[in-house]
Amino acid sequence: MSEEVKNLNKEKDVKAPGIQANDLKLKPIPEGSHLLEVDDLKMYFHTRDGIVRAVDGVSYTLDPGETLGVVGESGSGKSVTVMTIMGLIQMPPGKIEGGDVRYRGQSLLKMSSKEMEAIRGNDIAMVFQDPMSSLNPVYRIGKQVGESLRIHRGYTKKQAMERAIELLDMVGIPNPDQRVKDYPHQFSGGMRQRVMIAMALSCDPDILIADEPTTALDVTIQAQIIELMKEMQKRNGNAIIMITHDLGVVADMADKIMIMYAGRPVEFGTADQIFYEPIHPYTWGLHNSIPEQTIDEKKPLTPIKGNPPSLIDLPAGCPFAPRCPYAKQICFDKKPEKYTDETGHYSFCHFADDKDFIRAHQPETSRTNPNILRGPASAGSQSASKTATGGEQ
Amino acid sequence: MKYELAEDYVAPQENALEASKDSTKPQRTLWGDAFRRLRRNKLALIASVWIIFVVIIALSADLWVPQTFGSPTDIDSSTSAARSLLPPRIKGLENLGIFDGTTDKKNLTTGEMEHINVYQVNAEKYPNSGVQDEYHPFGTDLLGRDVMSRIIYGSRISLSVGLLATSIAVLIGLIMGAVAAYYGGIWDVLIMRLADIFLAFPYVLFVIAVLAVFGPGFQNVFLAIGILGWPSIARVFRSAILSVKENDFIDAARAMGAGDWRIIVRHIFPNSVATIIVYATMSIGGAILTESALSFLGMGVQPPTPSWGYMISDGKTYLSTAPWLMMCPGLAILSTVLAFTVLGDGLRDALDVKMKDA
Repeated sequence: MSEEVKNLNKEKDVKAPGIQANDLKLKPIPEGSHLLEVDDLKMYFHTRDGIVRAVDGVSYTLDPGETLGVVGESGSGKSVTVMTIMGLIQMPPGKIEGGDVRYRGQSLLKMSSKEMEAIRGNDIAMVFQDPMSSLNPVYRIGKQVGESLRIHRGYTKKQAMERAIELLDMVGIPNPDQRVKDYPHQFSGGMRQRVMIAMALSCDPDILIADEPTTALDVTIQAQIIELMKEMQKRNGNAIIMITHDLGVVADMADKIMIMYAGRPVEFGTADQIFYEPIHPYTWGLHNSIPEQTIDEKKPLTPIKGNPPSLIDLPAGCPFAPRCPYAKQICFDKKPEKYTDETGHYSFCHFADDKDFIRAHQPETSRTNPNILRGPASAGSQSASKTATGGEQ
Repeated sequence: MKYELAEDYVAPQENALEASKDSTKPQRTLWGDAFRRLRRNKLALIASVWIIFVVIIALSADLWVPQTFGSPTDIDSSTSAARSLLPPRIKGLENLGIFDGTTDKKNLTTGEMEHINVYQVNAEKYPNSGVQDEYHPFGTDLLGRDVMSRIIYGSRISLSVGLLATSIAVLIGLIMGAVAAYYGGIWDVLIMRLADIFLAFPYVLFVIAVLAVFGPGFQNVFLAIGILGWPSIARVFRSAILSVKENDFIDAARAMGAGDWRIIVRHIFPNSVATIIVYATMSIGGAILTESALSFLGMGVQPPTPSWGYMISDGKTYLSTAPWLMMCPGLAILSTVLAFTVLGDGLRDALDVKMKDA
């Protein structure tokens, strides 16, 4: 993000009416820290069947205006990680077994529930997966969009309603001054997700966490919602943590991507590194399982064989070893160490530093094989993607 | 294969669709919908009309009842003998041969049953009482008080005990149920086991025991019924909250920075209010019934304040000679309790959002 946007953001924050003087987002980020630092976070659930290691050593950093994509299959701990950051996990059964989460240098895990309430929705806001059930069915849209402002900024009902109309207009709801009087069931799924985004952005949060915001929507609406989030990010300068199980969703959105598997990060890098130079066999598997319609429609999908392990009873070695086509004996015996290269691109694999191994198995990308993008149907795919986002203009 | 778009192709806009079903149509609200559905339920409509009727009569009683039917409590010693145990007599129905003030009475001298008009007989016996011109639609009791007047004033007791006791029970039940369901864990165990203990006692016996300690009287009656009535409401409300709590919008509210109190009051309550309204409406009937039972047993509102239960108890001695003494307050209890139950049932259907039938 450019310096310009950052300054704009700061200025707007201070001027914002009703903003609390002790609001954390007005404080400068301490030297040497990031906006958000998740440091070796471990969240275990103590159940009758045993300890579920839902999040087991997740680390990442986020800077203002950045987008982090968190990708993984169901049960890989993506949601639990952000729910932990937001303090939304019921404890017990959940328990933080280690690590820390720092927002502007302050540990969120050490905060009282009152302090966390002041941060939730105000500095860190969240958009949920299912827009159909994330809005309270008994309140009018306007009231719900303005609720954050009433909580955090002490707006009057009238001020909150006026701001709600502006926000709904901003996220592209037509007739906002009429629609604020509607109930959620009068909105379509895509519209409700726009409302959710308006709600989340109402207090100018530093970080917007989107937990699979497009999973419950159909493809054209998905594209519109992603487009909207990017546009809002440009306007507000907020950072985004985008959780998804769809690599395609983060492809043209994320600056950094973390791939998670069985509660752990397996690979972390910039979007380019994850897409063009992936070094973990699981990431390769994900790439290979993307349908390559542009090359050959008849080609069967190549799934990753097997199922993720139970989080209660993890294998002794690398958790991916039982499904990894390249697993050696060491993979079953020993947990892999974190391998980080000079750019910060890291991977948990015994062979992460073995250049020959990687070169031999890394999937083909448009960078390693330029023919991919010049395939016979590439022109068609481009116009199709235009259609998908066309509704935004 | 190529996917080419026509030159003049315009991507369909989601917004355009939404905009077309513009906001000119009248706003529909949850309560508006519920009222519309309730209106279509004939039985519930009759019940609510009846309840409104009873409430209006009870509230306006002071303005017209004593003048029309006579005082519900005062006994005029000079004329009470003349007015004692008069059968129902309604103006305008006399010529039809019903409610004309006649009854079968045993002639004390001959020992035979006679069909006589008590109003005329008493007027002959007490020439100055003016009884022959009086109309008591529900008859009179032993002391010459008008039963209609007593039933109307008794409705004040029944309705206020019903409402007050239910309000107290709902208030306690809501707090207990909310704490049990929302905080769970040890709170849930403690509160629900306490509720089990309360429910293990026979309810009326429990209330009688409490009243035996604190003494009878209007205030103690509704306090006792209300305070002892919370466990069932707490149970119903707890389960309602448990199901609402699972919804994503509760998580969304928490993610928005709403505190526990705000989530309970602003997000959970409104979503379980339908259950509570239905249950509370039905409990009003139950509380009226309990109050009647207590008064019947002499533990309720004390005479001379008229109370339906006490009137039944008072009239049971004359069941064969003056059946109206029991029947009229009995019908009053029956109709009112039934009305609250039917209304509660209708409300359940009306407030059920899942029954989205047009």
